[in-house]
Amino acid sequence: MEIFRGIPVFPGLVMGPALILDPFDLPVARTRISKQSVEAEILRFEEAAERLGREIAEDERAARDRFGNEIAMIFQAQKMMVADQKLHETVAQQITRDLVSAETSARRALQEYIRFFRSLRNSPLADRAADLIDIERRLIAQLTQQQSAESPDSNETGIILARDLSPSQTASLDARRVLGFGTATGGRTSHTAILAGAMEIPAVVGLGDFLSTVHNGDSVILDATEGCLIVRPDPTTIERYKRAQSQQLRIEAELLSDRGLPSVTLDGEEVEVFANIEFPHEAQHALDMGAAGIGLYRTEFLHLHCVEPPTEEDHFQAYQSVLEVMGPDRPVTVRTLDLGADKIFDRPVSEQENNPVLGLRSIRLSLREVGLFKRQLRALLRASVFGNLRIMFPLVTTVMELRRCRLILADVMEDLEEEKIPFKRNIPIGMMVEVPAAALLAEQFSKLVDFFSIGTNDLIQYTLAADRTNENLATLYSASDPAVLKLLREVVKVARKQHVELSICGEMSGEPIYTPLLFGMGLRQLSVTPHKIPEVKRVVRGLTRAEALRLCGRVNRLDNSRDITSILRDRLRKISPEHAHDLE
Amino acid sequence: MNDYNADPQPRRLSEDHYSLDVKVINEMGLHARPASLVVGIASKYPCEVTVRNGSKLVDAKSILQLLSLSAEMGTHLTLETRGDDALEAIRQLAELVENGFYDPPSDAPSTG
Repeated sequence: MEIFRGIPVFPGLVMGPALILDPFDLPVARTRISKQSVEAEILRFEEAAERLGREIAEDERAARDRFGNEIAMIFQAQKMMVADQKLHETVAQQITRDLVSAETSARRALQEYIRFFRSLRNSPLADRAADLIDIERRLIAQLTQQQSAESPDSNETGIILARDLSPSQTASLDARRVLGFGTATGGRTSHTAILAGAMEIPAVVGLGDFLSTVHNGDSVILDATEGCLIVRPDPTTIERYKRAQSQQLRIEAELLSDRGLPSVTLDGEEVEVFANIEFPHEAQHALDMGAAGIGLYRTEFLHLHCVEPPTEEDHFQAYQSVLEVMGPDRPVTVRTLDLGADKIFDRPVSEQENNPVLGLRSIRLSLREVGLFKRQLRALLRASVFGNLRIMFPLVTTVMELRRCRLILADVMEDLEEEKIPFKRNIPIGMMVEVPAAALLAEQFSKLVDFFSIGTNDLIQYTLAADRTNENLATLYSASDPAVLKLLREVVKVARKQHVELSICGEMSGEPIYTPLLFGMGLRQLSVTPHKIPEVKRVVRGLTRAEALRLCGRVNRLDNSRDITSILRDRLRKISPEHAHDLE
Repeated sequence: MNDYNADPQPRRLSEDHYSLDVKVINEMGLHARPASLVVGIASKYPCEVTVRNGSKLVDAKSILQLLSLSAEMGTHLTLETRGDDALEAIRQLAELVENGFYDPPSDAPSTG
């Protein structure tokens, strides 16, 4: 038995046989050719490229239907690359000069570009390497007339393991046969991570060099809740996971059957539970899970995973589709561009910084790249007529920043008015409270906004000066820290006094252990990952105001996160005994 | 619109040889979309079309080569056309630059 740890990107617990995909393990049939067959060999390459071009065009269409324009654009770029004149010239030259097969020549030519793009480490162009690897694999499959090496053709059900999954591999996988994904490379924003989230398939990326120890068909456990892969588990481990899995399935089934139940406490107070989404198509899923609306629509996806920055039309279509799904009344809170330090690959190389988390990102970037910002605001305003839109600015640190945001927004409104393009004038405007400075000055900020949304991930990170992805600081980075809770209380107090609407998003709001505390502190709007909604609502249904206030009082007297976590855990166990297992 | 590219003027180097200096103003640099627009124009003309970034010179009819220039925002590039229809090709490219690679399309002035 061996255990590998990685980054969980979509939670779940699955067991099954390993299905290994290796994009580098390509069957190359022939390498040398005779002088007489040079022309035929070049023609063979041209034809294969043409067939592949058609195949990619097909992928592009399918991806557009399934995932929308953003993912389809990956294939659009691939199509141009396959048709590239210089690539064709190089391949033909090599075939003629070195008497090598079309396969060998294509591979050689593409590898050169792959090496080059890979070397551009921090550039958005580095991602093009993945496209070229994809093209290489598929070209050779075309040339050898084999079904490509990827395994979706097999009828086996299992856990897909690979070094990395190419966009076409991931998008072509049959979600019903794939139990989960595990990849050696990749981060939270890799193609695999994004697609696993969209397909709701448990996935762990960044597992490191595990492929050498696992063979096709080995039994594996993918624990995408904890972020580990267990290869050839021993009988005790299998037993343990089987129990956990059946319990998890039972809880999920129960939660789903309850999802229509209101989100009201035992003594009749309502807590609205909204969804955090990233893709337009998640809106429907959020509704299915019982969301009262969208509390946080992250718009970075439009910028990442696209070959090119989104146009106003790309923005507009995404917002319009979410608003239409949610209907005229359910609020949809869209956060403007929040490109952050953890997405460094998608930033121009010229803007590399020593300390990107504290750098030019998010609203700071929008206020500097006003053209980019206005494009997004314009699309938002245009979309506003389709539903109940709210606009939220991230990472606001100073009052001046917020004033500038509002001025720019007014500018864009004026432009639209001149052009006679309809939009709603009374769109609620809000800000994320995620920098300690903003929490401390909540009173001043409250006069400039209609609502606050507390972003706990960054607030914790900035308050405790601890990177949440740093394993060595796992105990330091905690939502239970009394300093973090003190800032939350401050914001709640101001919001109440100034009649500013208040919600909370970020991982903390979706963790049931914090639900009683947040309710006790006075929060009545939570925004969580769609699949967490039923669970959070269930906890809400077990709360009473008096008990929650008592819990708050006890928490306020404690001076460290360990003790606080411990009493929150006890509280949750009493309200929702099925969580007892998870909390061990 | 960046002033630098506001009124791009091709220079005539010889009878059928023109050049144009441009600055990359797109946030993501010369990425796939603008590159594909350049390829689209360059491929329409019989003349040779090249792009130079410092000492690196590539064929503007190839998307892979254009991308491998890895021209970030702020990079100065020189476009050159040489051969049949060189003037018309450089004019078309100048128009593309002037319109900020139609990025975003709604901001682009009409091209009449």
